[in-house]
Amino acid sequence: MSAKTAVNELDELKSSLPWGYAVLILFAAVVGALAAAVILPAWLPDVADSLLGSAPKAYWYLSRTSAFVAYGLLWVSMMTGVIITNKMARVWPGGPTAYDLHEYTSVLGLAFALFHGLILMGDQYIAYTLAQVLTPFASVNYRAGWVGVGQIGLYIFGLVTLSFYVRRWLGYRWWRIIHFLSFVMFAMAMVHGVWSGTDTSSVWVQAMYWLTGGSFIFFTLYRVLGVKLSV
Amino acid sequence: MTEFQSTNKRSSRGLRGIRLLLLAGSITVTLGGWGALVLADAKKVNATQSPVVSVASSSATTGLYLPPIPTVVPPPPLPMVLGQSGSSATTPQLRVVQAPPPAVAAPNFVPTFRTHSSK
Repeated sequence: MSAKTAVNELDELKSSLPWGYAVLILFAAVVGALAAAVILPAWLPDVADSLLGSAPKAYWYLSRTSAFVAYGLLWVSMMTGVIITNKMARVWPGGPTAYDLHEYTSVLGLAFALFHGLILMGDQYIAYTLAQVLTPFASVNYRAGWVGVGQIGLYIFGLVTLSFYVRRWLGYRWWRIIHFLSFVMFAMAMVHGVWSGTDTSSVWVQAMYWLTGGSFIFFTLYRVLGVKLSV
Repeated sequence: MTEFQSTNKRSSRGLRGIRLLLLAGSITVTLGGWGALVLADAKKVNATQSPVVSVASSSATTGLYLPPIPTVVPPPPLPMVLGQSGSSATTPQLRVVQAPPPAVAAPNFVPTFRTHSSK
């Protein structure tokens, strides 16, 4: 089976994750972040103080950890997407499983990426507003350029994830074009993490970036070369 | 029915578990990482916190020591030599003590500083 045939068979698969379930996950992430960052300190300041202490770094820490989770899920989504088309998914974990993981980690990664951005509204040091979180390059409080790259990447992430559910209406050609944007989006997410992250200097974070970036490039090259050889 | 479709039904049952595992793992890593960062920060704060300097107010009172006031004692009577007239009594001779020489004016001290440029 060539890579092109694999893609065509992929078209026959229905979305494994129901639309409503995906919306629920995204909704939970957004509501959770807004509740923690905006509603809790405003309505229940005493409770917020007792939970978060006097140091306002709690939101910053939550943003950092959720960013790593979002990046990890995005990497899994990218890897499963690549191994579907380069036939490695047939070896492990199987085509349908890989497709399901590809779609689910994409939705879950998008949810955590949204949480990562929105929870920053609670941080008193950076003091992002909702408009600054949603508008690329709108804030100059913290490494505006690299944060802006991440914000654009988030929108592409949303677009690619949405394309799972509107593939029938988009048509194969447009769906494929949008899906190709995910390569750019992964690079943007990595650049955003490396240059605006405060943990980049630590060894384990650098190792993570090398491992994820290196493996992604390897499997992508394997796919590209495989397609060329089969043609 | 393609290979993909035939295996789709079979594997979809196990996928719920994988999804649940991914969701639980992601939440755990986020909250666990948050807790770890808070703990690490608390340890850092404790380690770098300067020891509390207690300025203890000295309980010792500032007492003023005064030496005993000398009492004015009348001088002892002059010794009388028996068998001599009272005029021969020894009277203390006044000694003329030379006044000390006038103090020499202190020489003017003009400090000179050597600078790098004066080398």
